[in-house]
Amino acid sequence: MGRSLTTMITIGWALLGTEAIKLRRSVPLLLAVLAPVLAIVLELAVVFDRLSPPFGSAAAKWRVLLQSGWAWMALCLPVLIAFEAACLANLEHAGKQWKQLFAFPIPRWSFYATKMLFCGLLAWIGLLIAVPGYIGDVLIYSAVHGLGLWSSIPWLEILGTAGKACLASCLLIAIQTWISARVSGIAMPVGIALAALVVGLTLLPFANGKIAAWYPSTLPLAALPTNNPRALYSPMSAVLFGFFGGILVGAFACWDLARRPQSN
Amino acid sequence: MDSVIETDRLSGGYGKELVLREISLRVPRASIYGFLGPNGAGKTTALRMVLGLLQPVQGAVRLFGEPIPAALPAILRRAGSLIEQPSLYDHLTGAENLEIARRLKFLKRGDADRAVDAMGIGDYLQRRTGEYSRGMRQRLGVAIAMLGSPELLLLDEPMNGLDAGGLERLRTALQHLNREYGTTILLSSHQFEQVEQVATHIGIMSSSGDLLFQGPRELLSERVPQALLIKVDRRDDAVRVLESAGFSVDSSKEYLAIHGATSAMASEVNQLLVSSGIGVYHLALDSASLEALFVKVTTTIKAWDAL
Repeated sequence: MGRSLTTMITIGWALLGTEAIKLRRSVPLLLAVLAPVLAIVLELAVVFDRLSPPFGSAAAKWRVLLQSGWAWMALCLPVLIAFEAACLANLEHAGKQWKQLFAFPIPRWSFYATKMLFCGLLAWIGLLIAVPGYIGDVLIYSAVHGLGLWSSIPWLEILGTAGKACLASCLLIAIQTWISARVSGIAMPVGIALAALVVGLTLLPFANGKIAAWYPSTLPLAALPTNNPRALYSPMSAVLFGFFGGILVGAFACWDLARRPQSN
Repeated sequence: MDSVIETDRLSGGYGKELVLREISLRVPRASIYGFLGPNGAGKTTALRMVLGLLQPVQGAVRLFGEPIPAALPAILRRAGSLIEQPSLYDHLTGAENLEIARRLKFLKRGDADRAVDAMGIGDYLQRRTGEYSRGMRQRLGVAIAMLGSPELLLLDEPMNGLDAGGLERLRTALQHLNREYGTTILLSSHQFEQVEQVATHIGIMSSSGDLLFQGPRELLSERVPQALLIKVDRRDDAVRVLESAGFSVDSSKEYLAIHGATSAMASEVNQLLVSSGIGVYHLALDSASLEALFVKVTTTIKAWDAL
């Protein structure tokens, strides 16, 4: 037991280290930084496009001003995940690396599990950059309009919302990594993700959002606090479904990918 | 002699196409096994099966006596490989590519130095591999396979793209690994001249995926009929003696020649001539090149089990 644990830790450490090396000067890392910067700039434009500043308590103003930012995040996160998963897998597809990786004394499934982990980490790093950016956008708006929101940043609420979106996105991370590892290239996995997102957004209004709470692409959106009193789901159910669904589908994907013969 | 790689009637391929047909490889420990065959003979397919990258349709593989795929992936700690072209991350430097392989093989820092020196790639390790020439990529690929001086080295067409200096380095490095560390090396290639200079054992595949011959290099020379060239003091008497003993002698050139001879036959001819009082100045089997032997094997021999 002790020996196998040590072996697993050694393997895990090697995989994390090598995956980190692969990220140097890579597209996935660049995406994780550039995508949130784009979202921050867009959010700034959206915030300043308001006809009038919001009313009510500081907490209420924060909630209103951040609302569009969260929506952006929930829409951008599935796209970012799709690009990250495809680009990470493509590091191996492009150099025909899988056969070389599988010739190392490391279980095959663990390469895929590492890809999933890094896809999640990169998407969440994007979120970590986006969230302070959104706060910055609101603070700039607050300064321009004299709202005095500097001293009342709702850190707990913001981090809680971001955290829930991260957990809810696990299912999508597992699915996109699975597709990206199976299909070489970026166009197909990203195309599938975009099509799925459009379908999810189309289904969103039906059944008072209930479908969104069970649909992988809209899970980050469903995990956001809802103001809809008629909503037929709770954001927490979307978080739990996304997280545990991600673990289950991720485990199955690793098993499926590891058993397949590797032609490149 | 025990075998590091053993396959038992291994058949398989891609999809429904059968590339390999019941091949039973025996790669002896500490040998340099030249695995020869024309393009498309199934050499790469066989190597993929040995490493467990491809499931055979039929047959079994044993590495170090342990069954594949049951012994995977732990058994791969003892092996290094280069299958087809080197798999490199082009956005990373040579040093970073080596570092990835070092970590995935659980080797210590500095373990890469020996492989780097052996392949002479130290000068361009800090450049991105996307800028490497084909030969440089090949050298780095071989260096990655050699990391940690493994017990078994599987190299698929490692000579491709190498210039004369690169070939020399590769040969020296392989012979050094084999002598110093007892590394067993399976070298798949269609470049016979290069293989000939290092291989101790040979395996020959036909274009249809059959294993036509395998065994020590010398055995191949012995088993393939060659020309026995003879120079004597009394030429006409020698022809008469040999023909009366049933040999077909070609006397059209300076040396008398008996085509289709073996080393056993050479001994018999020598005794016959000497016992007839004929002075023998020269008697030798024409030392055919590996390429010539390969051609003879693939054209005249259906199947051999040389071991």
